Amino acid sequence: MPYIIITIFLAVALALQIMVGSVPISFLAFPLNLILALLWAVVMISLWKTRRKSFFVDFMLSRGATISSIVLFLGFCLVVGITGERSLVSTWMFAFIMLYLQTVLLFVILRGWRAQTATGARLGAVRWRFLLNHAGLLLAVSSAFWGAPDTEELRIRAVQSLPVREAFTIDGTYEVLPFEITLDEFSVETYSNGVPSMYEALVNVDGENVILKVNQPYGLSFGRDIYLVGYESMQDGYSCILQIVYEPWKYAALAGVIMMLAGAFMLFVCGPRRRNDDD
Amino acid sequence: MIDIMGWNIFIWFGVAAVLLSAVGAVASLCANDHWSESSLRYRRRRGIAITSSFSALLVLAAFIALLWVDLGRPPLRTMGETRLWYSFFAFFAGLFTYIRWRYRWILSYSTILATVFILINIFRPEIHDQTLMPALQSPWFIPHVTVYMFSYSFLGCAFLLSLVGLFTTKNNVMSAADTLVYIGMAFLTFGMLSGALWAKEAWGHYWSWDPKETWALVTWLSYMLYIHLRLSGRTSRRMLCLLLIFSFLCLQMCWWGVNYLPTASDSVHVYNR
Repeated sequence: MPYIIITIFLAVALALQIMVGSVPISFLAFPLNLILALLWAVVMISLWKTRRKSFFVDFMLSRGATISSIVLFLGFCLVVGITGERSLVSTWMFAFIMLYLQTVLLFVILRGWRAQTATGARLGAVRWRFLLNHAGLLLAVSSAFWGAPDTEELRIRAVQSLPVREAFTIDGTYEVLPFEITLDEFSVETYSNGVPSMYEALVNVDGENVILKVNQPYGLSFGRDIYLVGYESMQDGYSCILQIVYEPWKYAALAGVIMMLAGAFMLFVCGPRRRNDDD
Repeated sequence: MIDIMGWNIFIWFGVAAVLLSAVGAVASLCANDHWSESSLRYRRRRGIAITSSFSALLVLAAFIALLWVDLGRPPLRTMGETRLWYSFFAFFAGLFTYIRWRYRWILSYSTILATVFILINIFRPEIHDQTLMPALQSPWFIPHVTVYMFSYSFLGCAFLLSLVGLFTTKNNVMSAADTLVYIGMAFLTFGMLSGALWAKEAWGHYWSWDPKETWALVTWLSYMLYIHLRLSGRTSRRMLCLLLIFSFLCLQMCWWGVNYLPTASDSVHVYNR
């Protein structure tokens, strides 16, 4: 049975891909993505509350659903890994696989949460580990998935003591910044063989003096950070490449990552569950 | 810098570590499973096994420390340097498993595993003393690489067990493999997530489907599949062992295989070209 459902599911994704092309990511920008995500969550949770015995809930909680969601995700990553085609992540197949994974995760979390509140202390640690790992993964995956349309990346070339407002997106579209950026000072340290070891820029962003280094971005506003990504030496001084990344969903992703780190720590401490403890 | 330092003297440390570890492996093998754990002959052999394996670990640790001082930077960059850590953690993983679960074969596996990597480093060392590029100068650098090497060594032991598991019917092979996979998986997760956090700080995104990232995820999901199949308990031992072998092959792809992929040129993880 799971094979039939998954085949139909992937066939629909493939048909969509052929008919309308890749997922119109920018169309799904805020607030549409948030509305859809909430709608999905509300529908799934109400199905769990009211139709627990339904075929849909039963299927999502089955072993087949768990295993197939991992296998599909694994298979997809293998294809990306072998072909090196990053653009595959904007196909409907990937969107469907990720939605399927999130749905399976949500249902097992709901069931795990009920078990945690019902059985109390005996299975405590292992249940918490389960919840941290699964809820952390769900949070990280869903904020990357639903947050993708809102993520923006701009590149700016700043020349010493010349205020700039122009920025370019990844696909080369020109944009005007709502504020000015000026490169005030730039310094490079090199090893004895001339290879750069460290570089640093003193930048004025919207009237504020900011020090930028590789691995040391500066937070401009909610979800918006500015990075120093490279430099070029010119006849009289330097020009540096700055990058502004806007990722409003990054805090949710970070929360998910922290939960998974805690879950992984418990994976190490508690080790495998004994066989007879299985559900 | 003093000339006799660094990789030039590795052969002495490498050979000493291999010999000590081999003594430990033989001693643990000689302690028969049927002997009482409190008997003198068992405790004596176990004592020799632990002491000499631990000495092997110390010898490698001493070399790593010397190399660190000699290079003036943490030795975590080139493939040769990561192989060094790998052998170190392989000794550690073997000793840890032996002390905790008294699994008497494990020291032989970890010795073989570490020896392979020590021999590669003796015969084909990548001793390029490359300087550290700016992107790698981060507090994330050391934990990110060491937890990965730690995890790889545990998963390497699980791989050796899965080879044994294909030809034996003893049940404790699979439960020992489970423990190794859980430890390996915990550190694989630390490695992957620390990488994501570092990537956000260095390049602006947690995840960007870089070839190395993609293969790390493939590896992670493959071991994840093993854990879930084991939990539901309906998969044959043969399939599980084959899955562990497949997972370990993915890990090799992630570790060094990606450098040979045609897409490696746009990877941010290729440093030693």
